[in-house]
Amino acid sequence: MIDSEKIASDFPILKRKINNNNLIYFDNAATSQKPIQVIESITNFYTSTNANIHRGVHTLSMEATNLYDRAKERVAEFINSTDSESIIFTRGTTESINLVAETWGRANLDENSEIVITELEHHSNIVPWQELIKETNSKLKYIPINNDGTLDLSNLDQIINSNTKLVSITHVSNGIGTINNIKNIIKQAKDVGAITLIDAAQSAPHMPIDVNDLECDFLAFSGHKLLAPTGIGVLYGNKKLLEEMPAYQKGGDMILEVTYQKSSWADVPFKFEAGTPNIAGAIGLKSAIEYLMNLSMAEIRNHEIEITEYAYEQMMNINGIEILGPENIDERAGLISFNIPGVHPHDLGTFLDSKGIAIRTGHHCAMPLIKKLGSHSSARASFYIYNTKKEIDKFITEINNSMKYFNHV
Amino acid sequence: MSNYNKLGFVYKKEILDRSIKPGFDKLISNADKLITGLNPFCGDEVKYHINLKENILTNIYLEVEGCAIHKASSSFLSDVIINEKVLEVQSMCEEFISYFNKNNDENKQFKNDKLNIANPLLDIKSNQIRIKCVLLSWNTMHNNLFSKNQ
Ligand SMILES: Cc1ncc(COP(=O)(O)O)c(C=O)c1O
Repeated sequence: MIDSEKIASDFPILKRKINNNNLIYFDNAATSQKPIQVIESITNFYTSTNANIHRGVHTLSMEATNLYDRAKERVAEFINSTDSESIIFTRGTTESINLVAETWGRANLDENSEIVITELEHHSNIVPWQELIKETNSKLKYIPINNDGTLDLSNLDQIINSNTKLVSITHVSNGIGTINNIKNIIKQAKDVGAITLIDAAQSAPHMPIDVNDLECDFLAFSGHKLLAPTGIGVLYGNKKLLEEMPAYQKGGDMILEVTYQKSSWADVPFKFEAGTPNIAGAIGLKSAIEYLMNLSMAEIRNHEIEITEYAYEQMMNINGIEILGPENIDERAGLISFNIPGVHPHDLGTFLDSKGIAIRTGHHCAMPLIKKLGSHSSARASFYIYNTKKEIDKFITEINNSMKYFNHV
Repeated sequence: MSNYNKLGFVYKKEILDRSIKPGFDKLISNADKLITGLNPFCGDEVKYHINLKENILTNIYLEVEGCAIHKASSSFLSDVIINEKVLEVQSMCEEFISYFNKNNDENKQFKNDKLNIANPLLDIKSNQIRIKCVLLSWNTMHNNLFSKNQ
């Protein structure tokens, strides 16, 4: 069982007042808040261990290197990968996806190739492929969605076919919260020999991930959505593929031997980590993952099911409300995207902010999706380990107040 | 109470009232000009159907969708420009837009008195994110009033 009130006491920012109200932070899909343990791990690193890694023989450098390497081991454990050499640190999900597009993509696609994504994707899993297909003359195909925001898999056999070289799909939609049955899609992709990439930006923070079981080739997520600092993220890759892939950025730390004429690359994963990495970020990520694993990812998912169902039921009682995405909680992550009659999302966002409640409003970096579902924008409340039913009660009350405020009733 | 005050700083009573009833709702079937604006990021949308007589905006029919600030702002703009010369509309739009784009806010005194109708919008300048809701219609009017193909 998750004790969210106790957890909340680990998060200094949650003590802050916003416009004279206790902060209620429901914008976790954008980024999560950070517990004191993570903040201290970064401060401690800079106050007592700071040095560059993988280059010095002095004590500080060895200690820093050790922490950095242990961060990778923790990440591997977190997604149940047996090999920490499959873990590449990036700036975040966006860079992880771009890395695959620019290295594996450029080397392996041609005019007969097709890339398959879904209509649910975040811009960061659309735009890199749109650019790549221009360069390689390949084709981009979409798995469509049903009206309730679940994937329409009825034509999957045609969409994923012998021309498919890559299937890149989100595990959880950031726009409307749909949880995709990625295991089935990965299996179909493997049957035709395609490579698979999972965008786990919205799932890794909230539910157990097992790359061994999924058998995906790549998996990407961001630290900042799971209690870690910004600027650190992960690309997990199938080791054999990583070894065959060309290098990404070039420079220090990623080389084996450099002469004035030519250079050879270091082994995976260092081949993909040119330059001094975000060492403090990696250490913060390690601490964040330890915090989450200590709570248990399965328990975190259970907590989110509980409060999301609670919020969903009460929201359905609001006259005229439109909730985007699936109704079944097994298909929905801890995120509710909605529209209120007579109150534009931006006005609702400003109103709730005046009550200390932070939600996201707009298109959530999924413009084509929100448009397909018939609007330009929506309001989105997304929950995490420190959110409580009491906060949801206040949220519902204030939505009702906003309708009175803006409609003069 | 102070929260409502703070909210009231942005959503002044005139803004809330106009967002519910923007006015200018009499259909024009023979408009001389149709000026349309859209912010695809949030869905704010506006259409001005305009009758022009000797370069004067004699009649306006307003269609507006979106947030309260955008709706109110579109309505204020209609009141400011009705019965004005095209050239004067251009210069009033410029003056209003430049008030929001300048860093200092000393000069709340507009050259043309008629702009004072839109005064309730001026405090929104302190809310960076919502300035674009205020300005969509004004920018649209300013950029398109002279163009032929609208
Ligand atoms: C599903 C999904 N993919 C990718 C991203 C991009 O993550 P980042 O901005 O951390 O690179 C996000 C972040 O909003 C997301 O929700």
